[in-house]
Amino acid sequence: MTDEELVLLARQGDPDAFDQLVIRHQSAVYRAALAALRVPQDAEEVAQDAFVRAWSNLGRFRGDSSFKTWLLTIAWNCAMSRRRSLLGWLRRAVAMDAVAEPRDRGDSQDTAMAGSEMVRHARQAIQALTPTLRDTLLLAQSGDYSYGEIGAMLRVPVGTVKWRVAEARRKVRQELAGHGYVDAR
Amino acid sequence: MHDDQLIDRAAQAMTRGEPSPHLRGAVRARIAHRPGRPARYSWRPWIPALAGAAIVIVAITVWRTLLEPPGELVRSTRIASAASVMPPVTLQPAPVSVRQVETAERASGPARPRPRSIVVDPLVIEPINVPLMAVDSSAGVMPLEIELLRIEPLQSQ
Repeated sequence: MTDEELVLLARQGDPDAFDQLVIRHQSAVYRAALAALRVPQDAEEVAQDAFVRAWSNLGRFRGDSSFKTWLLTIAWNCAMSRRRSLLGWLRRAVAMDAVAEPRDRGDSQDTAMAGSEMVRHARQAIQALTPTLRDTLLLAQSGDYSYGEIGAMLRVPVGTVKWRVAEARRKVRQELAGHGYVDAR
Repeated sequence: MHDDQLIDRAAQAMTRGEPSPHLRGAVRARIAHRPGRPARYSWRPWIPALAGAAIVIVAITVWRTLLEPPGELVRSTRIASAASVMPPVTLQPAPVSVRQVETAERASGPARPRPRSIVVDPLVIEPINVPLMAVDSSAGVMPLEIELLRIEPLQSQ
C-alpha cells in the first residue's frame, strides 16, 4: 500500500494506517531531528511531536509533494523550534559529543587511532560551520534524503542545497589542512 | 583516507542513530488522547465564526460611515443612546385655546418680514462692432456673423 493510500485511510480516522506511516518514516524523521539538534533525547521528542502534528494536520496535506517530504518539513520545523528554545540550547551545549564515534575495524591499532583522530578533527570542523552550511551538509551526508527533500525542508532550491554542500566541504577541508592533514590524492 | 571520505564518515557519525522502539507507541498514545479524526479545522472551530462576525461588524460600520454624513451619524447615535437611557414617556396632547396662541405670538416678539422674490431683468449684451477684415473669397471662407447674446436670469424655485 502506498503512502498516499495510507494517508487517505488515516484521514478517515484509521490509526492503524497512520501507524504504518510512522513505521515507514520514523528513522528518516528521527535522523533529520538528530542532524538539527545532535542530542538523541531531543531528536526523539521532536520526532514524536512531528508525527502528532502530522496526524492533526493530515487534512491540510494536499499531495503537492510526497508524504515523506511533507512529514520531513514538519519535523524540521519542530526541530528548529526546539533549537531556538533556551532549554534545547543548554542541552546541546552539555552533550555536544554525545554521539559515539565509529571505530575503524580490521586495521592495526595505530591506523585505527589515526583514523579516529582524523574523524574527530573533521567532526570539530563540521561543528564549527555556520548552522546553514552544517545543517545542509549533515542532511546530505546522512544518505536518507534526496536533494529535493532537503530543499523542501530548508525551503531553498536544489541548486542552493548543492552549493551549500560544496561550500561546507571546502570549509571543512580548509580546516583540516590547518590541522596539518593533507589529502593523499 | 581521502578528505571527502573523511568528511562523509564524520557527517554520517553525527547523524547516525535509530529512534527508540518506544517512539511508535508514544506517538500512538498521544494520538489516542486527541479527540476525533484529523480534520482541517477541528482543533479550533470557533476561529472562522469569530473572523466572519468581525468582518460583518466592520463592514456594517464602514457602510454606515460612508452613507450617512458625519452630523447625521452623531445625532442618530446621540438619540439612540439617550433613548436607551431615558425611561419611556407617554405624552398627552393638551387642549390649546386661541388666546394662548395669541399670547405666545406676542411673547416671541414682532414677526419677521417674509422674503420677497427678486425679479431680475434679462441681461442683453450687444455685439461689439468690429470692422470687417479682408476676407479671401477665393478660399470659400465667409465672414463670421455675431448675433445678439441674451442671458436669462436664474429663477428661484
